[in-house]
Amino acid sequence: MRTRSMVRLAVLALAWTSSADVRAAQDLEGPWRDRHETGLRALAEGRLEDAVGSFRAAVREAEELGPENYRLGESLGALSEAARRLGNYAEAETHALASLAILQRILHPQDPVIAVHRNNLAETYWQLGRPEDAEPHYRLSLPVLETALGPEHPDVVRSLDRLAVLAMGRDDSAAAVRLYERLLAARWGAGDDAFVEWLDSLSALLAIAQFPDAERDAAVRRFFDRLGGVGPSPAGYVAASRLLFRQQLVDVAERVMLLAIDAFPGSRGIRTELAELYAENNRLRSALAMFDEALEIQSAPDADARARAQLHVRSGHMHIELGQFDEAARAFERALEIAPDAMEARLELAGQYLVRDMLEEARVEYARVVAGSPGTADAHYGLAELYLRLGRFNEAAEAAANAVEADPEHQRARYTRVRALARGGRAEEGRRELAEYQRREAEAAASDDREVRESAINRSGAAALVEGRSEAAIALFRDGIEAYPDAALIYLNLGVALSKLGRREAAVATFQAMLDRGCCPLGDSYLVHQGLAALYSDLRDERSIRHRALYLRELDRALAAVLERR
Amino acid sequence: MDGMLFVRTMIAFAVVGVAGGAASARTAQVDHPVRFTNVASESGIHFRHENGASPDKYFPEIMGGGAAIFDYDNDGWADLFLVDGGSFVDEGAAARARHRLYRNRGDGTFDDATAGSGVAVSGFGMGACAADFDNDGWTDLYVTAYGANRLYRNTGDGGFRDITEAAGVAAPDWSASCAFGDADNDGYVDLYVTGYVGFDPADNRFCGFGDVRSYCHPNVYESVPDVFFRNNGDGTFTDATREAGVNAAPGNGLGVVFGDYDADGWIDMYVANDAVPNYLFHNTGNGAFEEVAFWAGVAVGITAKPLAGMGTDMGDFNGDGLLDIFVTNLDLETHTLYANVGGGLFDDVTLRSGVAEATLPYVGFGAVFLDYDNDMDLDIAVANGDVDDNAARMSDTKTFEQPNLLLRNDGSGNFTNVGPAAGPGFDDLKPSRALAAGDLDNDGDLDIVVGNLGRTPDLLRNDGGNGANALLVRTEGVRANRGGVGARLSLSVASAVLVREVRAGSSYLAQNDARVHFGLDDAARAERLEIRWPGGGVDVIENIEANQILTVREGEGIVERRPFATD
Repeated sequence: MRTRSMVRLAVLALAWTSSADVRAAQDLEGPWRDRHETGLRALAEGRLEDAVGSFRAAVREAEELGPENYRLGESLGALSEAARRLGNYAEAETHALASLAILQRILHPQDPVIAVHRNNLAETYWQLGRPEDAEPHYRLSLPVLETALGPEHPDVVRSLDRLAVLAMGRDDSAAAVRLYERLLAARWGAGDDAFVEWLDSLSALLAIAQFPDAERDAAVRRFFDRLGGVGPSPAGYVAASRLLFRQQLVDVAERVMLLAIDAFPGSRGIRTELAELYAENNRLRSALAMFDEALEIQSAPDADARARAQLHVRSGHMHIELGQFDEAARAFERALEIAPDAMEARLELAGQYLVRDMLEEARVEYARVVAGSPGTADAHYGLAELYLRLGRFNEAAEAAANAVEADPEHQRARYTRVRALARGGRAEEGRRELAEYQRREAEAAASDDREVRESAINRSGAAALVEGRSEAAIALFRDGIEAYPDAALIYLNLGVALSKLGRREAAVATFQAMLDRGCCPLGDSYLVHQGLAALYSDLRDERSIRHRALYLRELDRALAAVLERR
Repeated sequence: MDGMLFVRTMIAFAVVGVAGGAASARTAQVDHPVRFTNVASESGIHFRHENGASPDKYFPEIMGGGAAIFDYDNDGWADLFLVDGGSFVDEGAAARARHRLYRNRGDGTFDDATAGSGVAVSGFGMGACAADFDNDGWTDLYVTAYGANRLYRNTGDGGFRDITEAAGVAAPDWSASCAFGDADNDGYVDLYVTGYVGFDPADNRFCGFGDVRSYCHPNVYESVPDVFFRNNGDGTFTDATREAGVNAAPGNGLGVVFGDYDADGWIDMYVANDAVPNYLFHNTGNGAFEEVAFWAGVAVGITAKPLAGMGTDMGDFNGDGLLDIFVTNLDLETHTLYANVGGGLFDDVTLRSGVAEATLPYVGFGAVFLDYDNDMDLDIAVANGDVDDNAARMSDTKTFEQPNLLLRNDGSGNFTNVGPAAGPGFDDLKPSRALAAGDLDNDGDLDIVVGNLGRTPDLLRNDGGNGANALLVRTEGVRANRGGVGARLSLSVASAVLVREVRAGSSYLAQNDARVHFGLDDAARAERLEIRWPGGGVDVIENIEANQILTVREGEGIVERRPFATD
């Protein structure tokens, strides 16, 4: 159990106001304090040059107080941090070493303040490409930080990651495995072995997601059995659910989110996530109900308005797709009442005017969006459509060009420009723009076609295997690989199929070929490494442990990536 | 920024307009009540389409259900041809599947004239179109299929003869819609056939999301090229796809319609493609085409992305004398209405016309411009039905069976779905595909035939449309092709000029009654009818009384008049 002061320290460290508040609370008056705190604010706000200037001034003030004073150590450490973030690693190293030298003479060796600065020094060495110098500092600081800041603190997680990489570099895969397991547990849930076992069961299920057979049913049961004994963080629930949904285990993904609601009944984010899951799965009524539930969750008013407005906008979208257009309109209006500066809601309003032929009102709203956020491509696009409606073709073409400039991928705007140029008699320009539009469309279409074809190959192969048509399944996957040599998921499914058929060597060769080709654009390499770890284990091959370590590393990355973007 | 944001907004507020200030403009004001009643069964239509639906989800199972309205026996009553499908898993069902030819008895009932007609073979049929390709005075029939298509020559004795091989029009790949039109104005109709995709039942792919299997996206397969057959005038055709310049990139073609959108006397073609850009083939003269859809603004939807084009039609919905284009698409795409603004360019008016609001939730197939209430402007009828028979498992809002739509034009180009108020014919939820319109009872208003996938068809009798006046015009070419296919009719009535064209194949897998229907509202007569025949001949007829069926022969004027039938 962490003490109250440690919790406070964690909070302070997060904002880089660490030990000054703890150690010099009685002596924060005077010019040093002003400059140091100014530097801290600048650092927190990302104004790194300003921070460096303030900390240098604070150092000068602190130096007046003598060489062994705590404030000098603190400001030197802060200056080091700012310099490191600016990429001035040599300067950062100098200041960090000086800071540590002072603080080590003043404070207990296990003091969290020393750990914080030691960890910063380690990171500086890491950035300097001197991992051997970094490692002892990571090692020394890690246990103290883990206790003081908590296992989930980003500095702790980063330290674990660095140490694991160092272990991998020494071919000490066993150590790396232990470190990655700690990292995963710290970052995504409870810090114990059972949590990693749950993640293993998640990966095992995801690997065979497309093979709807008894083995998959058992994997689902195992996954939920283990989930019952661990406590993922909200991020852990969401990331797991998204990975499951992406592998089309829709019911499982939904059940995970329902359990998340049980675990975090006051979380608006969890409900929003479930609503988005429903929306993506064409369960619009369920999505709408869940967005409404999310809206009922109260939170701090200041931070609340934009979030609530966004929920109203999403509710509006659901109403549209349900054909409930009056309700949709009310939802958008409500969003604007709550957050008049909500750009998306403003765009919706402008669209309303445009479609109602209230063209001047539409123009005003679009202009407001453009004035507030000149790079909003959709607002320029709306203006283009508006001018096209008015027969002001040159202005329409110009507005569409602005949209394309703001967002070169804005194909609707590009095509609107084509139409405006055509209507305005500027055929040559229009045909040039049309050629560019069509070129981009052709690329997008090729990509889309490939996606649906790959999906059909994967589903067909998996279905064949489940139906007992093993050779047909293998042939389908192999044909797919021949057609799409870089199709990671087909390789993966072929490997899984061969594993299921007990053809271990062939499965290993498939997975290895997949890795050799630069697996995996969708971030599924953790599944490949997991497969290889299991296969090598069955084959009593010592490479198993290395792939276990790689699997854990890639799993963490996959969870982070899917959290970043659905 | 979410790429769909603007579209969502536009869609949303297209509808908000209805709830707000623009409401009155879009609220249908039906002056005389029009109701559609499904009288298929009581009329003697006892066909049930076989689509062979199986858990294995063979792609053609979900696409068929064609229908054609044409007068095969020249008795002045429009007959009915219904296209059957087949089965990939049930040999018995496949063997039993056969197309049906229903002869209109003129009393509101039909005889099953299939037996002995020579058109009973199915072979997993898709759609049909009909025209007098050999100018012998009898309308012939082309049937598309998954597999070889068939051309049936009408022998004039109530039967048809399969002359596919001799005529050279088999097109063995998977074809969908077809249409006849005289592209080179040589007096013989040519034939355009859309090619869909290269599905092979021996390589039936598994598609779906999660554990729910669905029919595959068309782009899982290679596209099959469309085929343009030039009529040689001797009973044979030549594959002129490349020579005519219609060999654009393969397009998953599902719908096709001929129409002279630039009114230059050379008939053009519009092709609805599934999940790839649509085509507009501009006829540059003598039957040579250039593909101009992107430049014209009719290749893609409001997202500037290709939509799932299924059915299509051309018609002058806003009365400006220029042919506009309607295309059906998937749900959440909206069906699309392109307004012809002249100069070879179109404006996508889907949002502000009310079409988006009315069509957003539906998967559309057949579509027809028609003046169902005889008020002089063109309305739109749409057949809907999802592309997955287990759609409800993949969504909490979708259903396989969907209502069809009757989009009433309020006269200013704004459309509202009046289907729910148009009687039981538009109440039923079914997986509908082809939709064809025609005056089956010769009573002066347009009835509707809907082909339903794996179900019985709908014969929606229009009751009350003839509360306003109308004219029905049958064209007979002399120098032009015998059926007058492609003739452009401009009727001056009550200060308006109504422009219509004679068609032989459009919508989705369908053919409408080739007779041109004009609603006249309360006008007792039309001042002037100008017919511009393919090849350039022009006939002008003046002072035409309402409520009759005219036959106009090129160069001779009216050669036959019949009053509308009454009860």
